[in-house]
Amino acid sequence: MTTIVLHLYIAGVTVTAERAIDNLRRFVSKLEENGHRVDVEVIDILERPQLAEDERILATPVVIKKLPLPSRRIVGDLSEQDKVLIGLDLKER
Amino acid sequence: MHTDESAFRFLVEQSSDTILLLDPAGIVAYANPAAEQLFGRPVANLIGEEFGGIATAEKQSDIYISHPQRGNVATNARSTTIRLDDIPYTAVYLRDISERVQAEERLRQSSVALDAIDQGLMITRPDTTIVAVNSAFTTITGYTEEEALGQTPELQRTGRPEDEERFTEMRRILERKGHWTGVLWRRRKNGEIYQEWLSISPVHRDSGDLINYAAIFSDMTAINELQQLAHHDYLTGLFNRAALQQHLDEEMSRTARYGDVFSLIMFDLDHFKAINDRYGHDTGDRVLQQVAELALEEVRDIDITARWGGEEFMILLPGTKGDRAQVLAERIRKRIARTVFAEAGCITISLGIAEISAGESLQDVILRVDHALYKAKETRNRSEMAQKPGPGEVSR
Repeated sequence: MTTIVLHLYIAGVTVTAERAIDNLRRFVSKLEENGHRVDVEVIDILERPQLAEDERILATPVVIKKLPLPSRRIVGDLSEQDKVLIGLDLKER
Repeated sequence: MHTDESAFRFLVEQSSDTILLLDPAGIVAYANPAAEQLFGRPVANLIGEEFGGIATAEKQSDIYISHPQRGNVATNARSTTIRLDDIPYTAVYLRDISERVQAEERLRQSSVALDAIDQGLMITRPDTTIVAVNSAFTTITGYTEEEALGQTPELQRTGRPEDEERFTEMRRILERKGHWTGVLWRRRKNGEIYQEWLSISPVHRDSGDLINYAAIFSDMTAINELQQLAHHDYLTGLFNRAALQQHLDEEMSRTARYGDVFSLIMFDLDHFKAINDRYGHDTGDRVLQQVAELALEEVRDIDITARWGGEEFMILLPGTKGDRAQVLAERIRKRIARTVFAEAGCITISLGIAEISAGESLQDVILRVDHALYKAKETRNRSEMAQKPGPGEVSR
């Protein structure tokens, strides 16, 4: 089984960012319950602006699925788990 | 259809909100002219860029746009799915709310600074969504910051019809006048209903638009208890002398303004010193408590019964003439006289009665009732009506 690699980009610790982090945590533990291995990294673009530029990020918070390919990204507070699953192309079909 | 399409295009292109069309992979397929300002780059440079799908709740969907110069611009995002040629596109509406968010952030920071004060602070958007609270808010309401943010003051409704009515009325005044101060009944998280003193003021941006409401409130429970302490006699629970004085002043101004009449009954216990000496002060205190209870049972709801001092009591009877007051005085006297006190046996009281005369001062009527009591004391266990003041005694 391949590892899922997720990067969450936030722009400072805002209320929305905190919510996104909470929702991602829940989302990840659900993936792990289903037997996935998940690597997560939270990146504050205020601290690492170059990374944001390299990734060509238009909006935050955004979670980017780096692996497995194809790469996918989802913007928002990630409160709708189903949309995140479908959007990141992780929904088992 | 062609006309319709150009009409829609016009709407989209003239919109001051940014509108994006994203393909199923989250790639920008279309951006309206407003997008240029929000993203800080030409529309042509946006098309083909990966924005990403949208996953936010309906209500709370603030997302930040990376602008090369302005940094991260807060927007409120809404999205909907549109099928074009049977491909599900996502239409995204982005409204720049950075000014409001910055103001809120400032308020949030100042509310943190206001954590030290014991008054509750709540900041809401114009639609009453709570965006900031301080720590006294949590102490008073029982709701944590996390639980309160994103909610509305509905959170604390009591559910009682009279409170709902008052709340609606408050909202109406707030919308009309912009601010409101008063007392409301609210509910804590633990279900307890309490009274709060609340002051709501608007927060405007420089252009004058309303961006927030700031509400400062304090729990009245402690204040009410203090008032109870300040206005009541610790031993008998009756009004104390200071509280009665206030009622007397109010009654006097009614008399002066409307010519209302009132009467006073002053009474004390006969041979109270002997009771104290014989049975001790604890028994004496309990006798005073029982006398107060018996007197309270005889007076009407509108009468104000107070402990005037040591074993002396005073009753203010609003809107009551002297003869009616004497009927009540006699009833109290008889009630006490026929009661057998468990610890002290039989006890009697003596009473003086006086009716306020036109133009008479408060001091004078109290002096007259005092004299009447003094006279009643000559034989004890009786009531004595005060003499009307002579013409020369009335001073204006």
